[in-house]
Amino acid sequence: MTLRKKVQILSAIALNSSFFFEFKSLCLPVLNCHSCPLAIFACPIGMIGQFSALHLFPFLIMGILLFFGALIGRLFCGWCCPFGLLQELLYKIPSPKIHIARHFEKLKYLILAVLVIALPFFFGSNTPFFFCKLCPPATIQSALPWAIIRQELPELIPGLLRVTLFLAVIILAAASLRAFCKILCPLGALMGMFNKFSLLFITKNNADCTRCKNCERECPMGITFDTNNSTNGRRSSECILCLECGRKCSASRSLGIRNSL
Amino acid sequence: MKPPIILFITSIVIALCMIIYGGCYSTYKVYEMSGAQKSETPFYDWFKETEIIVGATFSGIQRIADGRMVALSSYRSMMHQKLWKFCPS
Repeated sequence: MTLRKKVQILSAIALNSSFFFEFKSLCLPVLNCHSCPLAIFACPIGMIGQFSALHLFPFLIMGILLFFGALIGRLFCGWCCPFGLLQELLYKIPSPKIHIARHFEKLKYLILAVLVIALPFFFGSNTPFFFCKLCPPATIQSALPWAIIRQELPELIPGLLRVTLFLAVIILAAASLRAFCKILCPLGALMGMFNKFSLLFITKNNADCTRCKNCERECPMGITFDTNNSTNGRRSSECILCLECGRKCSASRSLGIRNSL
Repeated sequence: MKPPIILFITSIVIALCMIIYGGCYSTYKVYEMSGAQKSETPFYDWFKETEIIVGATFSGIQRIADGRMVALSSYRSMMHQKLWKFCPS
């Protein structure tokens, strides 16, 4: 088992183990539903949506996201997100695999703008298409556990919509690695912006790069060599710093703050 | 070309300012307009802004027609009981 996998498992447990205490006043840049009975921290996307519904700017949450984003970019996505781990495990299921076209990646920005910010702003957080009411991680972390705990069924139409979307995402994740992260995750859309100037990023020894493009084939986010390349100074907003690109790379890739991509 | 370090430093400074402002100063304003009594919300601490939002998340505090926010539940446990309203969504 790789170090990253161990960290992912430990993070999933740590983020959802509020047996004795919780810090829901604070959030981490991880899509981990705060309505989960065991969640320790608040979900930044849920909080942004609630602030939007109250017509307030979320200074504290945006400050925390900017702080982590500027320091470590999307490291949390690759190393700590429980739903990311679930998707990686689902992808191991033998099933037909598909390639998701790159232009679908723009969808997550639309979700962030419309379902997380605009809809709750104009219609309040009780609107049925508010992101939290459809969120797949929330379905597995909150809706289903609470349905079992309370022994009550949710309302028919929203419940059906939610479960249908969840199943669709599960099927998609089994067919395409981290499909939810690639095309739907609004937190990924937000944190991706910080990749462009974050202190920590993937470093590599350019002199050893043979342009074999093995990194492209290994990347779970489908990033191409040219969009995440130190030779042309470009950093991809999709990079989750998982270092999978370094598995078959001769240019000694690692996480660092010097010579970063 | 590497990202300019000045951008990183500026971001950290802005982030810290937002955390301090959001965590301390602006919360007073939010709480003043809430109309909720401090005694009604025992979970209230210095992260007042987010606590109000957590309260709102759990259907505990809501904005009413005239723009004020009011506390609907007095205790956190009651808010957790109301969680079902939000969670299965």
